[in-house]
Amino acid sequence: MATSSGIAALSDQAHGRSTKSKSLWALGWERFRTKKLAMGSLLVILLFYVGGAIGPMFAPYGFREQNLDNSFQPGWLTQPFCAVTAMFEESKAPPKIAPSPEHLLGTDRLGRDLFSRILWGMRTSVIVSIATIITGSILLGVTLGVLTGYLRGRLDTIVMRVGEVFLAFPGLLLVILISATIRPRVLAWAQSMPSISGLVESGLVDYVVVFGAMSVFSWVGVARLIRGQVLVQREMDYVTAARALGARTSRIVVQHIIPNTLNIVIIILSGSLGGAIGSELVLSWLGVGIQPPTPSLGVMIWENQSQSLLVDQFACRVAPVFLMPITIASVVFFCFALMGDGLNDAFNPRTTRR
Amino acid sequence: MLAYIVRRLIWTPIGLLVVTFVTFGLGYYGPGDPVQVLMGQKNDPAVVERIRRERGLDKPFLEQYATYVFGDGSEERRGVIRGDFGESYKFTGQRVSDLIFSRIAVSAQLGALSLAIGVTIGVIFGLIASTNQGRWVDPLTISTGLLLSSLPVFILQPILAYVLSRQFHLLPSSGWEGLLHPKVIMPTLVMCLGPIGGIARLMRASTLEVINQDYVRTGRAKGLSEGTVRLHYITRNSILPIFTVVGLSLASLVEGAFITETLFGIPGVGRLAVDAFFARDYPIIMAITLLVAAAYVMANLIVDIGYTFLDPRIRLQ
Amino acid sequence: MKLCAVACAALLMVTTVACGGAAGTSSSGGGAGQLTVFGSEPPTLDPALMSDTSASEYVVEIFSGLVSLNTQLQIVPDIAESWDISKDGATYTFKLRDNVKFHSGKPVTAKDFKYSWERATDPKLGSATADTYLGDIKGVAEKLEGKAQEISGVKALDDRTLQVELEAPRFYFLAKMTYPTSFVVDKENVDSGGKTWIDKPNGTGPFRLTEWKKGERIVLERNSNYYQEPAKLTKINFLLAGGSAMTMYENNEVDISGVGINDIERIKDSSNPLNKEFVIAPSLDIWYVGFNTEVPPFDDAKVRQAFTAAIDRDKIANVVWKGLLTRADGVLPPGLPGYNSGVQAIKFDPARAKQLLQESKYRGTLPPITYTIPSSSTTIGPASEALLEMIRTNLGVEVKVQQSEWAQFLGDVKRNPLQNKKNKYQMYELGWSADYPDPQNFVDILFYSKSLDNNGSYSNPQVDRLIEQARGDPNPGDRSKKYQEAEQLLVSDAAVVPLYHGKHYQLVKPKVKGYKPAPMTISHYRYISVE
Repeated sequence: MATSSGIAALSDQAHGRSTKSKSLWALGWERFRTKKLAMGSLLVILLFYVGGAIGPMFAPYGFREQNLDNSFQPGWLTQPFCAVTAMFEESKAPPKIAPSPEHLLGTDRLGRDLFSRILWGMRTSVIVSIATIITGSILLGVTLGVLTGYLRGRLDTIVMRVGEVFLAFPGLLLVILISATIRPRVLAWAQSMPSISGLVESGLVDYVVVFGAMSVFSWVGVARLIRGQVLVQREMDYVTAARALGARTSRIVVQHIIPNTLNIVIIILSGSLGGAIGSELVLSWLGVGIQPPTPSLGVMIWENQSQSLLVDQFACRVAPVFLMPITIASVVFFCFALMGDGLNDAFNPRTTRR
Repeated sequence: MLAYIVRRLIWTPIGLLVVTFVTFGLGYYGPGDPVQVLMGQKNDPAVVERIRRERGLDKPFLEQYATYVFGDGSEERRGVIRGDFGESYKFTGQRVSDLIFSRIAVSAQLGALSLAIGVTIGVIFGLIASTNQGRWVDPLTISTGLLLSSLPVFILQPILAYVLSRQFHLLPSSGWEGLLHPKVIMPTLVMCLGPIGGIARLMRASTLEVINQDYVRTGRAKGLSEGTVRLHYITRNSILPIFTVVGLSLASLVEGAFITETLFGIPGVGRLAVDAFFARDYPIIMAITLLVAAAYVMANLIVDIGYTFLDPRIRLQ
Repeated sequence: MKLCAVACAALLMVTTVACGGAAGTSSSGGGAGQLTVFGSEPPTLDPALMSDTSASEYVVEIFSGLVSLNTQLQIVPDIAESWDISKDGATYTFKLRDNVKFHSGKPVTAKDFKYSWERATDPKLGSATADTYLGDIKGVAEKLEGKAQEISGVKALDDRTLQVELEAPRFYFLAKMTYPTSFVVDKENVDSGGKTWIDKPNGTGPFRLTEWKKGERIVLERNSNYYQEPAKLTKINFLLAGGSAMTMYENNEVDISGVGINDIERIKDSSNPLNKEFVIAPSLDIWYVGFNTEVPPFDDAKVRQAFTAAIDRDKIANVVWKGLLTRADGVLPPGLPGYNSGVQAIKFDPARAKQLLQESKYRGTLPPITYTIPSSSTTIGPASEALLEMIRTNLGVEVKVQQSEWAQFLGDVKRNPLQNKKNKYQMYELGWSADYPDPQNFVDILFYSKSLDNNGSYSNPQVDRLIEQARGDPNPGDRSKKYQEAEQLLVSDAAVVPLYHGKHYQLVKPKVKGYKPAPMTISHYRYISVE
């Protein structure tokens, strides 16, 4: 591994230890720990989630505390970066307001503290990814994928044909349609219930509706991927051998087929967590995101996506209102991808011989 | 084999019919009245009623649905099954089919180009990584691929437009003049990145899987040249899973087109869909949903059938 | 292996395109006599069907009508060279010019107008604008109902004389005639192409449509047969596809561009080279916070006044919007004939606001308030966020915010006396822009107690009386005074909180001469020349 990530110490102890009948998971974890890039990514992701979960408690300002006299104060912490980028900038106009340590990352158009808003925005991302898991398309997809792939026959036909109908819906269009048609009604209903009306403001209701609807359609993709893998596996010699030896179907599925689909499950799992955060960006951008005034990374990006504003951010004339949230989002996506790759290497029994 | 294809072909229209029903239902029961949107802020209930009547929007749901799908026998409304998607609400007097087909061509060109480039780069990355397994090149290539794929369009578009257009005037910033105009470069550059990471990772994994297979060893043992082994024994087999992914990535391509086309102002289906959505132009939304669905089903059918030719281990009933 | 071959070919192609690309970028502006601007996709170009500015921009160049507006928004003769108005103000007799021809060369007669208007009011056409713009003419209502074959109030006395009889005197009738619904179309042209006739329109305007590639571009070319001074430009390219207008302008892809909120400070800075390419025109509109005066707490004028005094409109216009918009004091926008610059607004005063709330009948018992914003976007926008925060800090009132899709918003905010449907919202944000340059279009339509577009059900007998008097007043100066008086009354009464008026900030390349931005969409490309 070329890239060092400062956690080399963690991986050292796992190196070359003998393994005595360890479970697949223990083995996988041990292998995963040796991957510095992936472990580093995991750490960043954990940091993001912890920051999102408890960060808002430590936010120096409320997410809607405005100060119109202090609009677009440049970031205090970002000064060193701007010193570099400013060299490429022809206009040398200084910022209207000097940066100050009271606002670490500066303020947005309405003079709200960017640092605090980012912490709140991260909390939204955490809620979103949890909402995705709650809706459970993965569980459904894996189960159906294994069953149909191995048993085939009538079940396969029915599930796959039904799935095809579901799959045929373009997901994003559907989410848009649902959010335009069904969501307003559910929101109105939730707001009328005093016990859950608070959830509406946190955006959870929005996401359960939107992602819940999505999972009804998205299990198919997961199921098909798994099924494809199972179809290959079941024709493998070792499965034929097991069958010839008289192994029961359930045993073949549990012992041979499922472990061999794990790599795909893991890719999907790590992908769908990151994907949920990405979906928030896309949905916010399309105007289907969560209701204001809750901040989210997607909303912040959408609000400040002007190119002229970008120029000012590079030159530190304004706070990094667009660059900061999008950098955080990009880093998180990248880390999810790296982690997924590491998980794949570690948990796939046949591609890990290093 | 033939029976399988026939069965799939019979299922396809039934599936699509379900798609029309669901989208039509969502549009019908959704909030907002298209005629009111057409009228804007000018409030005259009598006029609204009159236009609703003229357009057949006052009829019961099932009757409207039937007219939409099967037409009412007149030349004006021939129905979806005869390729008539009705008239747009927003683009007054324009047929949805006229509005959509030219845009499909644009999206298809851009999408196919981006996908082809993205997949090629991904496959090359994957092969490089698997060839150099265990060396520093391996993680570097894969990480680079993943990094490229993780960059959201939102960040790429403004930065590219700023650097390449506004500062250095190298490329036109946006718009569309066909596949051979420089305007195509920037959106393609942005759109082709999406598949790279996933494809590279998949290609690497599946190559490593194949490398350890017995027939590869046999090929080498037979004394075949390394190039022949790589090309015919390894790559040929390891590229198989890519087909499934490319088939499936059609949907994500369409979704990517929503944003890329809107940001770059490209007159494709994605941008039309976004506009239609904001205008609550249900005839257009339904038509696009239906066409994307049909394209998707067909792509999957082709992938499935192609698979059986490419991998004899898979038996279709 | 086939896949690889295809992909590699594609890759190769892109690299060659890229090489060809770098050289040919700056050519998009076009040569002398040609103008390239950013256009929006028109829903239709049919004058009788179009209903928004994205269409009228083209329609006013391709077609024309009896009268039109000049850049000062005065009504000037167009196809009609003169007209007589009867003593009672209810009959108009138009004399047409004798040299007016369609693009095809066919002369235009009074019969063509009669045909065009009867076509526009044909219920089968389903025009959403016919009632508004032609509805004052006698017989139009029956025609729209399908009860009459022709419009009884329109007579072609001879080829060059058109007589129009109104239901009652309407002094804004000529102003309404400037809107494209009443423009003339060619019967042969309409009959020839079915519903797609408009792809090849045969109009009378200074430009001809020569290309309309949906979603990509619209090309207009000079009509050398034009009955007035022909256009100087030979060709206008409207780019319908494109991203950031500002980037396209700076990259020389378009010749004219609007300026957005994030560029305004840079452009206004006199040391910036772009500063010299910068023009401003007002936009005839008003954005306001509406109150539903039928529901608590806004049935009490004191509460409305308290909310108004709690909002610092100056900060919203000049800090949040960076001066991209003008602060509104009244409801009539600057640039509109009859605009009153001396209207007395309720001043921003947090202490007074709190006191007004105390004086109201809802002291201490203010019901929960929801503010509805028509928006299908993700955010409610910085201006609304600032406004809500002002109410929260200055008045201590927590206002809930609710976004509503435009389609739903319209359905909910509008009253429908036929079905006894009332405005469902308490407090909402809305804008209104002029259809024709007359204060009647604002004061009467938005605030007359019986007007269907008076969404807040505002009712003030004094205002009603002034509006009714103004309707029949033939003296334009007196009418304006009455509208201004009514405006002052409803502003003091806080019928709405006027927030801001729009402004068109535009950048124009130095090579473009004679560009005059107008507050409304009028035919103006014919005055422009490009060196």
